[in-house]
Amino acid sequence: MTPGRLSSRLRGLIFIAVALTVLALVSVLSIRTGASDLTTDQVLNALGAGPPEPGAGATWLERAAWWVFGTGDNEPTPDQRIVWSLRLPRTLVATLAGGALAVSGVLLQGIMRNPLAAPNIVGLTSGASLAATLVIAAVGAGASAALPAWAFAGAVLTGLLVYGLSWQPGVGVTPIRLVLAGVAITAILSAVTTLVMITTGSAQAVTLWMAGSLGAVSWPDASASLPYVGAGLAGAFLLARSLDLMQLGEDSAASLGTRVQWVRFGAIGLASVLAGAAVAAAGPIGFVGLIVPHITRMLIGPRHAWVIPCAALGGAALLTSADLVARALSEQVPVGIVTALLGGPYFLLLLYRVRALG
Amino acid sequence: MSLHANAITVRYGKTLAVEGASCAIARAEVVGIIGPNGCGKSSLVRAMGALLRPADGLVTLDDAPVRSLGARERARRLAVLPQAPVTPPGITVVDLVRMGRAPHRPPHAAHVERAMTDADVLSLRDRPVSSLSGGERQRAWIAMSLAQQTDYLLLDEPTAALDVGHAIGVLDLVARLARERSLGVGLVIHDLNLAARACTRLVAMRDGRVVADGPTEDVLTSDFVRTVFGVEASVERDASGRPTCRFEGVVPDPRAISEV
Repeated sequence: MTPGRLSSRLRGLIFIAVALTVLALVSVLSIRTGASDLTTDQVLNALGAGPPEPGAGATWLERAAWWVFGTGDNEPTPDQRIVWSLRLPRTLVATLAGGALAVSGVLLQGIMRNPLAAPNIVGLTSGASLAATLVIAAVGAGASAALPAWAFAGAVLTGLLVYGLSWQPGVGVTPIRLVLAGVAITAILSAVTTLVMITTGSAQAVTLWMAGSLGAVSWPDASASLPYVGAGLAGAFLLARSLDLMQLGEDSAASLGTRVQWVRFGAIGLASVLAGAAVAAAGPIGFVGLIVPHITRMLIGPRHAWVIPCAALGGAALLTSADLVARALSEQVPVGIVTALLGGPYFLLLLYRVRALG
Repeated sequence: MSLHANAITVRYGKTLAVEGASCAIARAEVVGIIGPNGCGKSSLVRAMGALLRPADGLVTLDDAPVRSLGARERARRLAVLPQAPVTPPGITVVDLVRMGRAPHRPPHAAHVERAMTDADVLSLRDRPVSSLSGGERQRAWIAMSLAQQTDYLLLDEPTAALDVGHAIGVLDLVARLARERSLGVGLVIHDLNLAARACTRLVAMRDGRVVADGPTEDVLTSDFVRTVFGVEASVERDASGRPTCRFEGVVPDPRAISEV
């Protein structure tokens, strides 16, 4: 678990530097790629020139971007329009969703002390999926404006439901009950989702959404998820010390002054918000929330004050890379499949090389 | 000034684990909590450590109800080391001991060093806890509890997994700290001879009740061992009056023994 003799601080800094570099390179490559490919120079020039002036229906995020990066030039080039209006939001959403899913997994694994805990295993993703399926079945996939909000609500409500079902009077919630309730809820919600899909004939549209796709995302998705992801990450970082203590077991954590039940409630709430925001924007992308936390811990050690920011950047780097690879293969390949194909072998390699995982 | 359990009752569902148990741990004394398996020792200790809420009764810490204290405030005055603490993978001794400073702000590094010195784990500071032997690991955990710098320390079977050499090492350490640091120690322990060696006082439980409470040399008699544990034993005393049990056999029908 402690590869080499580097201090956890140095390892964390190296991890952050590498993840940021990968994220920057992949973002540029990603923005180059599309219906008409651009050169790196074109991308960098267009980014440097700032966003075009936002129109009447622009989101707050576009206005903010214009306020910060705008150069006041009223005559945007076609490159500027392509980069800022069409391609940047996709990269931004991939970054946000990847970071959010990874930190959601860190929180869930942290309170459950279970290596298999992840947003899609404790029911958060299934809740979002069922809500999305109901929307698609009711009004069709075209009316996607309401879909992210419903998916987000589905994830958060499922988080609360799983928490409520695990709660015992006098005891509170325990990790094993959380995991088991989550597994049961996942099974029920998935069954209902399939039932709705088949009986309403919306199977094709739902399957498309479920594969997890960044193809259709735009500024509204980015601006809707950013506040939740930001708040979720900040909240997770505030819980870092308590999560460290939770790793010593419930009794030791309590003996060291941790309010165990509040930490569990807070972590589940934040994990639900993060997973909900990610799934609402990008669909139920699996694997990132399970694997990135493990990779991060293996590389930089157990301290959550480092694990949380590193996992956020690692998840962002993985999902943006996966999106790039998916598009290189074919526009039809869902990004979720590529996250598994990219992250899985790397994870197994680490598992093989780092001895003391447990 | 003491950690005082006053008529504590603990229930798990309909099962009564502890029934009206009272005992007190004063500063600078080592109190052994003994009794047969399932007699409620651990439940009593968990109630005294505020790790569970008793169905009835009150635990006070220097006269203040222990559950009325804030979590951090309580953690600065009372440490509990559970029976089987969880060692996170990869954590080093010094990182573990540092966690003991969590209830304090700022977490002075000097206290961490001193706790490691006291528990004799300074030479192991950068080793992963998972790579240590049972005795070393137990000392690392005790160092973490010492770094907490509390007035009282509760240990649930600190010697359960240790051979006799390491067990004596841990208990002598605890007894010395109680004397030198004026630490009030309560420990659950099964081995009566180890208990006699380390404890100034014994609290004995059976079927959820406290059946004996007094200085070690008064409590530990052959009558006591027969009635509480159902074992025939001869108890000898050395020059200092410290009792030692020699066990002879199990009493054929312990239920036939009169109540203590």
